[in-house]
Order: sequence, then C-alpha cells, then structure tokens
Amino acid sequence: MAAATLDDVDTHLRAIISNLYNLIVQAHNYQPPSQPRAFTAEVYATSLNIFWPERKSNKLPRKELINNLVSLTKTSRRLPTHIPIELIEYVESTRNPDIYTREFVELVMKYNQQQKGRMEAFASFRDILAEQMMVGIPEIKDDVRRVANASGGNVA
Amino acid sequence: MPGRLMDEDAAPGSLDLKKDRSQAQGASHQQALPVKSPADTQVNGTTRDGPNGVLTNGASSEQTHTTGNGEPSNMAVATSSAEGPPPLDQSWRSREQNKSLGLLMNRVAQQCYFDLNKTLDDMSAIPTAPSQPQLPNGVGPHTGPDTSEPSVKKKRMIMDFANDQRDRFIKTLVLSDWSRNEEEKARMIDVKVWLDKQTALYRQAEDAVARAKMNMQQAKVPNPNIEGAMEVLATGKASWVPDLGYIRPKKLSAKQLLKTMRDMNVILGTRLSLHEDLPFYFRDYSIADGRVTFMVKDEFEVDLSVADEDPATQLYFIDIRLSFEPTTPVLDDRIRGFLEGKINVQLASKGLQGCYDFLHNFVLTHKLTILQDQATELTRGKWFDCIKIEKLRRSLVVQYWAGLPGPKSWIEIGISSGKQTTTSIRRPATPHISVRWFQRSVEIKGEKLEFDWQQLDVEKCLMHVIERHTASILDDLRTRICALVPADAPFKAKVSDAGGCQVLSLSLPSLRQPIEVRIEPVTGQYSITPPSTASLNIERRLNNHPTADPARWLAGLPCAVVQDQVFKQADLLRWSPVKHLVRQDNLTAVFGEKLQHFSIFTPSRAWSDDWALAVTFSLQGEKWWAAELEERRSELPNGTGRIIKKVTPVDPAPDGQRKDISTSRDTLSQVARRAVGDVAVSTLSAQLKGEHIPHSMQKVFPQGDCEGVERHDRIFPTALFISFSKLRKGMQRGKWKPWAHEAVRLSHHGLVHDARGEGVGSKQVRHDLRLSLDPGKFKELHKHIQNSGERDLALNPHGGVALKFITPFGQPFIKKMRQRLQTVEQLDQCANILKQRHFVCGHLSLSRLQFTYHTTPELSVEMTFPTEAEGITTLKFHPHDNNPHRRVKVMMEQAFNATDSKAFDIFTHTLSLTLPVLQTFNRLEAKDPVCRVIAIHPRNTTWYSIAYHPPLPRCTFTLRTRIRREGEDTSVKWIIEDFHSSIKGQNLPEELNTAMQELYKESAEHWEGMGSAIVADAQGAAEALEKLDGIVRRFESVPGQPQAAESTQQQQQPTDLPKGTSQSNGQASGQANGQARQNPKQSKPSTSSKSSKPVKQEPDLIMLD
Repeated sequence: MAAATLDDVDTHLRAIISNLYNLIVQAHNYQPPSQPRAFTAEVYATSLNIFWPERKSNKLPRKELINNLVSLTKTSRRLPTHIPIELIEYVESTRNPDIYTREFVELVMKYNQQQKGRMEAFASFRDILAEQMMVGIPEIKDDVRRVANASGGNVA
Repeated sequence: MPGRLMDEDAAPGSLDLKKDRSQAQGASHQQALPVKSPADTQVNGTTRDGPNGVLTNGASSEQTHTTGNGEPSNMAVATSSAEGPPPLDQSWRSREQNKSLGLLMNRVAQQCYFDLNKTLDDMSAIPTAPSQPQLPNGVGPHTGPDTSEPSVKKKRMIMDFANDQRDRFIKTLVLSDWSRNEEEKARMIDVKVWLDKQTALYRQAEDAVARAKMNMQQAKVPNPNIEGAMEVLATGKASWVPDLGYIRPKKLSAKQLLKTMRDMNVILGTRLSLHEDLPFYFRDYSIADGRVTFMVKDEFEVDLSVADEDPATQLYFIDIRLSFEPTTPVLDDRIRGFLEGKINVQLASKGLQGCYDFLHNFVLTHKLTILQDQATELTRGKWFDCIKIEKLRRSLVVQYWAGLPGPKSWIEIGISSGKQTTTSIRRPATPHISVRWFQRSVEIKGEKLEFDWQQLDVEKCLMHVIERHTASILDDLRTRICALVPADAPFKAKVSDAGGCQVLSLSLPSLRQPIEVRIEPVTGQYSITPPSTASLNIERRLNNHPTADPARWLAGLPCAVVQDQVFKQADLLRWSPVKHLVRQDNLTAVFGEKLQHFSIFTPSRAWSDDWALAVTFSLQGEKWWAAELEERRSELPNGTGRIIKKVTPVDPAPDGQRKDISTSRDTLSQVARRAVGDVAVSTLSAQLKGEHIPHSMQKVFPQGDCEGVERHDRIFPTALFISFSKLRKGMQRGKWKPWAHEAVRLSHHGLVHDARGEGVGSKQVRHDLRLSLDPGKFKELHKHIQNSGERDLALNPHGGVALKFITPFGQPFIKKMRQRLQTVEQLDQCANILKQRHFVCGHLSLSRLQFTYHTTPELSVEMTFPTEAEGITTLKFHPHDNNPHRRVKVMMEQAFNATDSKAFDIFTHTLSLTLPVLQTFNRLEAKDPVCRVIAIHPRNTTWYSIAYHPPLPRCTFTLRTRIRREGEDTSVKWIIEDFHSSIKGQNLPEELNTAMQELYKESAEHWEGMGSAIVADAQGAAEALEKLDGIVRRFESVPGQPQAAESTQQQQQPTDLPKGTSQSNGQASGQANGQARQNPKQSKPSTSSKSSKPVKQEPDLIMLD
C-alpha cells in the first residue's frame, strides 16, 4: 500500500476537529425535544455508523466523527514521517514548534562557529608545538615536520 | 461559549500525551481515567495560526511524497559527497527518540474513540427523569436556558469530551504541519549531532594534551644544584641551613661518671626491688653501669635505665642483644631505632610487662624468620625437591619427603599461646614456639620433639623429625613382619641405630649378611642393602606403591635373596634349572606347605629327567627336596612338560648342625650328594618292595672311625638292610645254602668321581654292600683277593665282605647285586679249584682271573668276566705268541660260557688235558714251516683232526677224548684213530696202512694200541702222535702225484663230522659236549661259522706263528 501523505492525514484531522467543534456547539444549544436529529447526526449516527458501517457510510459520507476517526487510523498507519520526541514535548506544552525550529537553527549556527574557532586554535597550536619540538629536540625534526605537514600544517 | 467552557474546566492538570498514549495502548483500561481538558484557548489559537502559516508555506509538494524520513536526503548527501563533505552520521534517526508521527495519530484517534464510548456510557447512566413531564405537555421549543440538572450535566460531559479531544487533534495537526518541513529539519539535526561529536573530540584532544604534559614531568631531569654542592664541598658547611646555636654540655669527668653510674645503679636497684612489679620472665636481671640488664634465656638480653629518680617515671631502652644463634651480629641502626621507639612507648604505657611482651614476640617472630630463611636455603641445596616450604604469617610449614607418593608428611613450626590447661603451674602464660608434626597427614600427638631453640638449625630439626619418623616406620614394619613369621622360625628382624640412621635388618641363617632396610632421610625412599636383583625389585615396588603392604614384600625378600644366592651357587656348580616344568596347581599339596619361593635344579646329567633337586625358601629357612618328576602333556606349544610327582625332604646336614647352614657351594654339593643317596636308596627300596624282599632303612651317621675318610665321603645318609637269602634266592634255582649272615647292609656313597675329580659329569653312583660271612667261608678267595688289588670286592679276616657297585643314578640294580653275589660265589669256587689243581693263581678279582697252569714253559690264562649279566667271559692265553691253547681259544670260550655251574672245573681240567696234545701239534707243524703238509683242525676242545697232504700220503686222523669209568674213578683218555677206517672204500696206501696197523699194535707206558686206534692218556697222546707223524712222513711221495682227492676230502669233512661226533663222542666228551648238544639250534649259526672259520684260517694262523 502506498505511503500516505501529510495532506491526507490533514484532511482527516481537520474533519475530526470540525466534528468535535460541531459537537460542542450542538451540545450547548441542545433542547431535548427540538433538535434531536442534528445532534445524532454528529454523535448518535456515528454510533450507528459503527454498527452498520456499510449502510450508514453511504448516507452520511465522511462527515461523522467516528467515521473520520476510522479513516484517520487507516491512513496514519501508512504515514512514514518521524519527528523528534523533543518536538512532541514542545507541542505538548502548547508552545510553538517553529520557535523550537528557530532556536535549534541558532544553536547549530553557534556550534558551527565554535567549531571553526577550535579548528583554527588547534591548527595554530599544532604549528607552535611542532616548531617548539623541532627546536627543543632537533633529533626528531624531520619526523615532526612530516607529521605536522601531513595534518594540514605548514611548518618550515 | 468557549469562555464559559474555560471557566468550567479551569481544573489544573496538563494533559500528557504520552500518558494518554500509554492509556490507549492498554485497551482494557478504557475507563481508567476521566479525560480532562487542558484547554488553553490562547495557545490553541496561536497554534491554530501556526500550522496554518506553515501550511500556507506550502511545504514543497515534493516532500509530501517522501517515503522515508531520511532516505531522499541520504541520496542527496551521497550524490554530493563526491565534491562535498563526507556523509553525516544519521544513526540518531533510528533511535528511540525519533517517533513515528503516524503511530502517534493512530493512538490519538484510538484514544478519542475510547473516550467517546466512555462519555456516552457515563451519560446514559444519568437518568433524565425530570425532563420527562415536559414531553406530554406538548409545549413547543423554548429558547430559554435548559434548566434540567441531568441535561446540563450531560451537556457538560459531552462538551468536555469534545473540547478535550479537539485540543489534541489540533496539536496533532500542528505536528503534522511542522512535519511538512521535516526533512530539512532532520538534516539540521544531523549537523548538530556531528558538531556535538566534534566537540567531544576536542575535549578529548585537550585531555590528551594535558595528560601528555603531565607525563612529560617525569622525563624532565631536575637541574643539579651545582652551586650548593660546590659550597658544601669547599667549605664543609651549608650556609643556608640555620644554626640553632646550642652550647655543648660540659664533659663529665671519670669520677663524676662513676658516681653517676653508681647513683643510677642504686636508683635502679631500689626501684626494681621496691617499686616495680617485675614480670615473671624478667626475674633474672643484673644491675651494672647504670643500667639494668634483663636476661631471658634463649631469647634476648635487654638493657634499660632510668632518667629520673622518681619511680613513677618510665624506664628507657638502652640496648638489646639476642641470645640465640644464628643471628645478625649487631642490630643495625635502623632496627635499633625502630625498636627503641617501640620499646620506649611500651615502657611508658605498660611498663616492664609491656616491654617483655613486645620483645618476646619480636624474638619469636625473628626466630621464625630465621628458620624460614634457613629452610629456603635448604631447598636450594641437597634438599632440593625433597622438601616443600610454606610460609604463613607467623608459622613455617616444612613438608619433607615431598617426592613420595601418597599422603604428605610435614612439620609446622609456629607460635602457640602457651596457655596451660592445668592451673597448677604457676608461671604465667607466654607464647612460645611450638611444633606440630604430621606423619602421612595424621597429626602425631604426645611425641616430644627435641628441638634446640637456642641454636636454630632447621636442618637439624628436620633430621630429628625424619629420624623419629623413620624409626616409627621401621619399627612398625618389624612388628608386622614378625607377625607374619612363626615364632620358632630362625628369621630375625631388628631395628638398630647405625650411625644416626635407623636400620631394619632382616637375617636368616643362610644369608651371608643380613638384609638392611633403610629409609633415605632426604628423599624418604627405601633403600635395601646388599644390593641384589630381588632387593632392587622390592625397593622399586616399595617406593612406587605407597599403599601396598611393605611388610609382606619385605618378608619375602630374604627368601628371594637366598634363592638368588642359591641360584648363583648352583650356576657355579653347573646345576641347571629344570626346564619344561609345567604349571601345576597342587604344589602346596605336594610339598605339604605353602610355597612362595621355589627353585628346582638338575645338579648333573646323572640325575636324568626323572629326578630333580628342589629347594623351597621361607622365613623358616630353606628346605631341600628330592623331587620325582613325571612327564605330563601340557597345553604349551612345545607339547609335553614335566610335573613334580613326589618330593622327599633332604636334610642338608645331619641333625644338630643346622646352625652353620649357608648357601655355600659346599652346602649345595653336600645337599646334592645327600639327595643322590636318598634318591638311590629310595629307588632301590621301591624295587625291593616290588620283589617282596624284606628290607629296612636306617639313618647312618658318621662314626669315629671314618675320620680318615675324605670329607666328601663323610655322608652316609641312609643304609638299607636287606635280607640276604631272599635277595640271593631271587636268581637261584635249586639248592643253595646261604653263606653269609641274613642282614646285608647296603650303603650309599654318592656319585662316582672321575679321574678329573669332578662328580659332575658322571652318571654313576656308588653303593657298598656289606656282608658278614659264615665262619670258614671264602678262605681261599680271601687269600687271593687280598693281594689282587681288587677294588670292587674286599674281604677282611673277620669274615666281612664288602662289594662295591657303580650303577647309573636313579636306576635300581638288584639284578646286578645278585649277579655280583653269584660271581663272588663262583670266584670262591674257582679259587678252590685252582688250589686243587695246583695252578698258581696270579690275579683274582671280580672281573678278572689269571692263573698259570704250566710252569715250563710258563703258560697262563687270563679270564675276563663279563661286567653285565648277559656278557660272556673272554679268555686270553699267555704268552701271547706261542701258547698252544690259542688254537682252541674260541672253542674254549664257547665251552666255558655254555656251561654254568661246573664250567671252571671243566675248563681247568681241559686245560691240563689238552696241553700235551696241543704242544705236540705245534711241534708237528713246526717241522715243515714252508710246505703245508699237515693240517690240524680242532673240532672241539677235545676233538681234533690231523690231515696230511701231499707230498705226504693223503690221510686223516682224529684225536678225541673219551671218558672211561673204572669203578668209582673216571678217567679221560685220548683216542687216536684213522679217520678213514670208519669210512668204507677209502684206503690208505698199502704201505702206510700196514705201518699204521703195526703202530696200532704197539703199546707204551702212556699209550696203547688198540688194533684200529690208539688209546692214550694226556702224556701218551703226545707221544703217539709223534710216532704217527714219523710213520706218515716216511711215505713222502715225489711231487706231481695226483692229488685229486684232496679237495673232495676237505669237503667231506664237515659233512662227515656230525655223524662221527654222534657216533664216537658219546659220553666221552663229557658234559661239555652234552651241553653243546643241548642247544644245537641256538648255537648253530655261531658254531657253524666258527667251525668253518678255523678251517679256512688255519694256514694263516700257522703262518703268523
């Protein structure tokens, strides 16, 4: 079975969200004798939909909560996307995931700069050490030079 | 609306997605928790915007159909790797932290459904009764608020549920929106992961550099302080060291010093006597030179002194000397300093008792250390590999005899607390060195080991222990060996101390030197001397099999050694071990005792296959046996073998002389000789029994009178006393009178010695038979035997007769005895006959008789008697060349051997009878030595024919004897007659015939013509023959006369002879002829050949003469 796309999932999600929203609205305005049908369209019929899915799905296609839940379940199984757990926690605590993304990017930039600085520092340390060793222990001058040059230094 | 909701659901508690998810996973927990709304509308709002924004970003459509999380990006990285950086580590993507969004949605949807069900169930549980009355009212719909309590409750429930779930789905939607850019973000994470790693690497690099720097510290050589050194060397001072500027105390003068010392002595004396509580072991002390010296025997001496008069102040340590050896001569400063500090502390805190305890323990430890060092030294020397040393904290374990298999033996030298169980001893407990001893892993208690703790020498200790151990082993061995041996056995075992080494000596009388068993102290191995194959063997077995019973083996050793010795000696004596002996199971039954060591020999070839000499060895000494062997088929490949059928014990020496028995060669040969005797006697005895001849056996011991006899012959093992008459009678037919006493003694004299002096090669044994003659018997024989030098027969004047028999060993010789006895009888008869005939007996012995029967010329005959029963007597006449009887020698032999009882009588008679005739024959023949005109043919000893040949007239005469009886007397006469007179048609020449007729009519003193013959006595026959010869010779014819008749006559003679014999011989030829007639058939082949022989050989004989 082909992998589901985020668009497919989104559709179902949105349907479910609107189902639930309708449910709230209908419940709030519910008058027992007056509007029984509207409510059951959202809730009661969904129950029927479970018991007689083949009949009900024809009459009320993709509108009811339960139906949408089932669809979502089926679709989401095929979704290949993975996300870091940190992000889930981030959203869980009702924060904006884009902020997370921005912070992350900034962190990586900072690391990058640090990395560069270190590289340069070590390179110069290598050169200095090599020069000092060549002076201090002349016997291994050639060896030191070869090692230093091989590791990217430039030692006379 | 939302606000209200918010108000109602202000309950705290944020929703944890994970928690919900876990709840969703467990389907059975559907109703576990009521769902709570985290509703934060503001956030909700923002999030709703967020995702929307993202969505509008459009998150490039290419990303929507990425199948995997990182795969496309992977590809991108891989393609760009050719010119760009290396691929990044993406392992984090498959880790637990990276969650699947699809699974998350799935769970959220499930949770939503479960919650819905739960909410509906809860709602249905609430009754809606209050609202029912409104229905029948038929009132239309009212816009007024719903006031029904259950209804409101239900509404709230459903709204709570919906709100809660909506929040969740919105969050999920936010995540989904975020995920549209997921791939790029994932790449970002890759980079970050890589950077993290790099950071870690830099940290490591920093660490490594720092560590290298630290390690370099050691490589640095500190700069020498040359300046300071120069100063110290040049000036001898170190200017930088601060000077404290003390002032030296004034030196004490000698007087002051002495005084001080004395004062100190007094102070010490007072203090020790009055104030100090001296420990028990510090009772021995002396005060001098301002110090007190406590002496503990075998341990140490310590000098202490005081610093103050006050008895409460502590004593101080001055010096210590160890009073045992070996020890370090002087304690060096470090140890002394250490000790001083320690002792002073002890003195300050615990006083003298503390000082003692400390020093005592110090000394004990030191002693142990010395012992340990010595032991270690030992293992490097001759004890290498034989002891094992284990040093524990304060004890030393020395295992000795480490090379021995089996349980170990060791000593433990350690320190025991010294606490006494008995309270009666007053001295306080103090630790001391003690030893525990384990023999073969068993602790030996109660043994007092005498170790010298003053002169420490671990080797000495070890030797002492080993000596004790050895002694106990050997003693134990001795006890066990003795238990195996009967009390009366000559075997002796004793343990003795020879030069510091315990020796178990096992001795048997026959062992030349006792066997000594030692245990080698260093290795613990058994060693057995003197060395021999058996002892080496046992030694090896003892050393290799520690679990076996050494006593049993050692008990067998003396036997084995003696056996070995006997074997060697037997070898020197050229005894050979019996071969092809078959295994037989009944040896114990045969020998009557249990055999352990057993040898069997054939001392010489004389012993044949049926007899052997066996010897058994036990701790009761060795026993000798004469063994009778028997052929027995065996399963062995070589077919038959022999078994021992019967044994008879042989005493190696007469009773009472057992003590000097040894396994010397003398003993062996003596045993062999005795065995020979026993065997011979018992064989004979068996045969005698078989023939029912009464006999008895007796032991005979050397008497005083046989001292002159050679030592070898001194053995008379047994003698047989045999009934003489029965023995003699066995062969005798008819009447026989015993001529000796009934008891005949047969004694044994061993193997016959050859000229070489060795009895080994001969197969003959000698027995002597002794008889006592009846009075008056054998007088004549005695006379002659005396000077004949006869060795097989001896007579003494008292009537004793001794006969010597030399017979093959192990075979009975009764027959020979009988024959010999008969011969003796016959010899006596011969002697008597010779005396009657006045013949001079020259030599008379059992084998030979020689006598002279004519003096001028001296003629003698020598008779050689047969040595065997079936042999014949041979005659030999002297002088060798011209004895007249040589002519008839063969016939005389035949005649002699053919007769039995009176043969000698007849023989002697014939000798004297024929002598003149035979002498005449010789003379006649000597008349014409060239031409053979006369031929004399003896037909018999008393029958001759005389034939004349041409040129003399052909004629033949016979000469024979005839017995004439005249009353009581019988006399033998010769008859000479013409052979042809009895045959018709044969005539002599006329002249001769007449001359003969005349002769036949003549007569003289000794002869008489009878008309046709001449009868003469012995003397007259010779004369008549002379006359006859003279007559015949007168008719000598000229040569060339036909002689045709000669051959026919010659041929006729044998055919005629029997007739003539039968006719004329009659009784005259006496018993000799009669005897010949008795067995003509038997003697025919021999007589015919012999009678034809002389006929043909006659001329040769004459020629020779």
